[in-house]
Amino acid sequence: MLSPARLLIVSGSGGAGTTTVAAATAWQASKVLQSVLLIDADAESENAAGRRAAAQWFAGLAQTVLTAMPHPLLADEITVVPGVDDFLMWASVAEAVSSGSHDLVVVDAGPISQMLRSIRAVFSMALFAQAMITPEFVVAGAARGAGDTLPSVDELRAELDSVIAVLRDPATAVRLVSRADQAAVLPVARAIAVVQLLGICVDTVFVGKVPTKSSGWPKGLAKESRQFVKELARTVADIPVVPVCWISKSTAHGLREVELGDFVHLMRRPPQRATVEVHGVGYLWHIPLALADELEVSVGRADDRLVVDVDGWRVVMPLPSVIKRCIIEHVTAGPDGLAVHCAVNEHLWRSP
Amino acid sequence: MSQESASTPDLGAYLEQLMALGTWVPGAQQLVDWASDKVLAPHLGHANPADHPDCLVCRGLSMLAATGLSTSGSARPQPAAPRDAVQWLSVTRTTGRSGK
Repeated sequence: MLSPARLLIVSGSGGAGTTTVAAATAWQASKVLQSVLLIDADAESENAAGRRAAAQWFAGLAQTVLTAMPHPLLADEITVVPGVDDFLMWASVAEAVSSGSHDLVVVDAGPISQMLRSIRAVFSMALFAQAMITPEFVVAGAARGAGDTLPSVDELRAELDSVIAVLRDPATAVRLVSRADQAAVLPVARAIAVVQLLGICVDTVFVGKVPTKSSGWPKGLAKESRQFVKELARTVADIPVVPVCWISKSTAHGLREVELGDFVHLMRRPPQRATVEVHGVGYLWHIPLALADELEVSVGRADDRLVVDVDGWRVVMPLPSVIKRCIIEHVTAGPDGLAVHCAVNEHLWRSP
Repeated sequence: MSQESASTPDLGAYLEQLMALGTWVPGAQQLVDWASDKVLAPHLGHANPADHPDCLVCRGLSMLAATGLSTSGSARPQPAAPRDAVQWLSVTRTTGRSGK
């Protein structure tokens, strides 16, 4: 029995029908659920109120946190740092999910690259907060008389943690919408890898606007689309690929007719979490990931963090405790994910 | 009158201390002159402390450097040592599923 979804994030390649799938999901879910919230988080849509709210929130943050810096800044001196509006948007989504007021929250997150950038902004802010707002920083700020800084820093950290917890929750899933053409395969495969690296489940890939035999489209086009669906299913491995047939240009009619499969429950079980196991005289850290052969992957270590770069999209993750005391020898990248081979660092394991 | 008699012993003690100090000052001056001639003057031409193990100042500077202490005397904080860059690892690509 698959678990009910609480948050579905819909994102797709341009013109694939992302908004249609998001709206149809919410529309159809509302027939069986009491309360469904649909959020338009597409940054391309005009949202002056959101920008003003972001500026106001950031000015408040600046007033408290930035005064603790060695060379204090005034709120009027600065502009909203990129990523703040993304964080605020996801904070609103997390609040809507956590409030319990809705059975399901559906987010239309717009184009894939925008969705990746915006979700990654939350994780980057958490990383910056961890690296920059050190205990020494807080003590220095308190000594300088910025006494209000401490609760603000704690609130910011708590809010970042709660947003990330909602995004990584087993009841949260990203649903991608692909165009039915070959050029869309790589962006979709890349998005799956990056989202999974962030610890978020990708549970379905829809192929939007697939022509049907009966809808008057040329036969060759329908055949090509079916071949594409097969090709995509091979690339994304165990993630279900669902073709969404182009039935009608009428949006209202289309929402009723679009077949989305099971839109209330997750379409697949959340992927396994990363594991560490003893391997010979060292350890093997397995990071499960649907990694298409076409993607370029680089892996590096920076202190106690692993840096994974997938086609230029970089994700930073903390090393498990046992791996911190190991030397990473090499990494194997396959369709099942990353296998990080580690040898014990004798200098760090030497008994006193 | 009683005040004068009370202050007289204090003045005497003060004069005694001053005389004793007078004997110390020339001694201290001699010590400084000796250090200047025998220790500081030979060090003036030493650019690299490691090249002059027999020089007391150079040995002191080398010991300070070994303990990581700054000898610049600057009140400004020293720039933090650059963090190691990302150490990129060798990645082997495999194809085909393991069936997990």
